[in-house]
Formats: sequence, C-alpha cells, structure tokens
Amino acid sequence: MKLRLWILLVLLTCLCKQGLAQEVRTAPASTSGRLPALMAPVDPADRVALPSIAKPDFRIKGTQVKLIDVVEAPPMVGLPPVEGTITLKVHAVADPGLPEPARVVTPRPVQPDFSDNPEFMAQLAQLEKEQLQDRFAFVSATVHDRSRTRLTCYPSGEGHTPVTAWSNIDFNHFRACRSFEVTAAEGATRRYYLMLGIGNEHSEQRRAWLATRNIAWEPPEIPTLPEGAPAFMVVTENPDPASVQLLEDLHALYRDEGSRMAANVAAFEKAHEDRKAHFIANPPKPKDITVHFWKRNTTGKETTR
Amino acid sequence: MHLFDLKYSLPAVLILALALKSGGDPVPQAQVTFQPAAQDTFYVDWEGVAGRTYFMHFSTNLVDWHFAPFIDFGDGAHQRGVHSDSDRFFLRLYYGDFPGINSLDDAMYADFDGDGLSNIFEVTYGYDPFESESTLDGPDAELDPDDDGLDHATELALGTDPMAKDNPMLQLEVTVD
Repeated sequence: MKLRLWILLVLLTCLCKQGLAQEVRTAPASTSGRLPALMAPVDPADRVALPSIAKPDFRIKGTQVKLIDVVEAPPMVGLPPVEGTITLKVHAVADPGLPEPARVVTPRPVQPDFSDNPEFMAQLAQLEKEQLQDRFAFVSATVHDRSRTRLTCYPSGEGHTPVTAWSNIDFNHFRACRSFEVTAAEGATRRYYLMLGIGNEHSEQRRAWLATRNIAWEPPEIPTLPEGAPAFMVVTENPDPASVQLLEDLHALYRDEGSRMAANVAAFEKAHEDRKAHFIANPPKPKDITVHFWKRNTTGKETTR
Repeated sequence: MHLFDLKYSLPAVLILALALKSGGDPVPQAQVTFQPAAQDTFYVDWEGVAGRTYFMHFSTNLVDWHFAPFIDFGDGAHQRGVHSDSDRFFLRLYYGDFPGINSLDDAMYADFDGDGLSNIFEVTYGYDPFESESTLDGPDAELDPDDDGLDHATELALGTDPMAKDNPMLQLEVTVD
C-alpha cells in the first residue's frame, strides 16, 4: 500500500513539473504593449549642402572608350544577375573650375557644468534610471507554415541558457519591429530593443525536398496551442525568468498591436512582390558609364600632367 | 552617385599600397582624402612622397579595375577632380618607388611592362602599364583598334593617333596617267 502511494506521489510530482514547464501562457491582461511612434523624417535642411551645379561643364582633352562585359548583382534576391555589354568612356578634361568646397571646422562644444543645478541633475538621474531599464532582447524565431513559431530567447545575448518556447503567433509579423514598450499594471514600463532573427519552415517544401533524397520527413513536435489570443508554451525546464517575461511582453505587444503589425508586413510583402514582378517584366540592363578626370592645381607646382 | 554613402569613404580605407622600392621599408604613404565638390563629383587629394610614382585605379564593381588617364609623381600636394555617372564608383591609389625614375617625365615615358609602349601611352588609351597583355585581344603593342594597319607600337613611333585612321601610307594619292 505504501509503495503504491509512493509511486502515485512520484507520478503526481512529475506531472506537476511537466505542467509547470509546458503550461500554455498568455500575456497578463494587465500589461499593454505598443510600438514606438514613427521617427520624424530627416529635415532636408540638415543635409550637407553641395554647390548647386548639376553637372560641371567639361572641356574634353582626351577620351578612351572600352566595351566591357559586366555581370552585376540582381536588384532583388531570386532574380537573375544583370548582364550585358556596356560602354565605358573615360575623359581627361580641363579643370572645370568648380569652387573649392569650404572646409568647415566645427568648434568642439564646451561641456557645460550643471553640477550646481539640482533640477538638471535630478532629470539626469531620472534619465539614467530609465535608460538602465532598457533591455536588449535576443530572439531566434523559426516560423512553421506561418502559423506556429519556435522561439529561442538568449538572455543577454549569451548562448549558455537559451529558453525555448512555442508560440501560436506568426513571428513574420515582427519583421519590422525593432523596439517596443510594455507597461505593466503597476505602471512600470519595460522598453525592449529587439534583435530578432526570423526563418521560415514550409512543411510541404521540406517534405518534397527530402523526398528527392529518399529521406523521410519527420515533422517537429509542435505542442497544442489554442487559436485566437496570442499564447505560448515554454518547453525549457527552469527557464530564465527574464526570458519568460520577455515572451509575455512579446505576446502582449502582439495582442495589442498585432493587427497593425500584420497589416504592415502584408503591405511590405505586396510591395516586394510588385517590385519583383516589375523587374521580371522589365529586366534591368547595365548602364553605360562616363568618367571624367582632371587635374587641380592650387599650389602651382607641377606634380602631374 | 551619392557622395555621402559609405562607398565613398571605403576607398580611403582600402588604399592599396604597391611598394616596390628595393631594400628597406618604403616611406609611408599618407591617406587619400575625398571631398564632395558637386553632384556626382568629388575631389581626390593626397600628399606625395619624393621619388614616388602614382597611378590611380578606378572600378565600378571592385573586381575590374581600370587605370585613370594620368600619372603623378613626387612630393607635394596632388589634387584631382573626378566625376562619374556610375551608381557605384571606387578609387584607389596605385603607387611605387621605382629605381631610375626621378621625374614626372621619367615616370611617363618609362615602360614598366617592357612591351614597347610608354606608361603614359598605356594609361591614356586604357591599357595596363604593368601588363604587356592588358586585354584578351593580344599583346598591347600589337593591337590596332582603329584598324588603320598600324599597331600601337608603330603609332607611338610615328606619333599618329592610335584611335583614328591616320595611317600616312593610306593617305597617299596615286595618279596614273
């Protein structure tokens, strides 16, 4: 009788441990995730000004012409290389007399001393405190048939104790996500900078490819996850708590911003396909090249001809 | 051509030194500086070393390199301007300390590859002054791209234009009574 009780106890303990490791989790409802606001476009006025001469007026002194066979990289992955024969014209020309660009010397800014300004120092301390809360998230995502994703989180980017989980999210939707914030119930904000590698696994393609090599395909063991709300299951025993929190926060972000993320990726993929179709319909040809060289001499000494 | 892309600072990092001085370490070569001057145009400056001969290489794919049509020599400030309509354009300095080369004229009229064509002739007409066969068409000196019956060696000796049909023998008029 005692022996049976012991066996039952051991079995129950094992089941509990298993349950802890492979529990279907969702992001806490009390957290909210959001993408950062779009960055403001660069002000054209901030760019370095060049002399407003579209093309210098060249007086040609000599010309060499070559026909060159070129093979250039395709404009997009998956397209054939850009090949053809181009004409390379090299002109030796007289100095067109362009204005010498101004050599701008930027004075080194004087470091102000705010140590006697308590308000500023308090702001600085707050900023440092906030920045210390920023986190880097290193995640590898393998998306299976665009419906389930195997996630591996690397705490602090190290490979010692990776945490693996399965998610019911298509992590391709995170493709454009570089940073995000999650605010917890108590008001604390966690800001993440996401280092995410995404790969895709297509079962049928894999099966067909292996079949050509007479290799049987063994599909991965994907745990059962609910449809609908973002959910995940950690399969690593004793996972790093920060990684679990990261997984919760990723799922909170997707719960709150997922439709926008999916729409962005869909728009990106459509633009990608449109661009590819354009290049297939209009294969680019390598362009002829013209180069001009001239001698400038502001010193009066002859070192060149 | 976008002047502020990384590709234009790249050549400054990738300057390849061809130091051919016999014996002893060559005098270090100062970096080339690149400075935008106008649209698709930039200035290329470097400080020369006494006794050093300078060529300039350019490329649009970092695989095929061509000689610019000039030769520079010696110490002092070397100042060049370059304009290219290529989307990608790379430059590098190609230099050496050659025994017996003591002036710009020496550098221009020497024949480093010994093919009978002077260095300045080769770079002016798009050949490699360090290769006697720059192309797959045969020895540089035997080529006749203007198809006037005179190869480069002969055109150089006669002082005719190797890119124009100006064979003096073809211009003779013969009148038969």
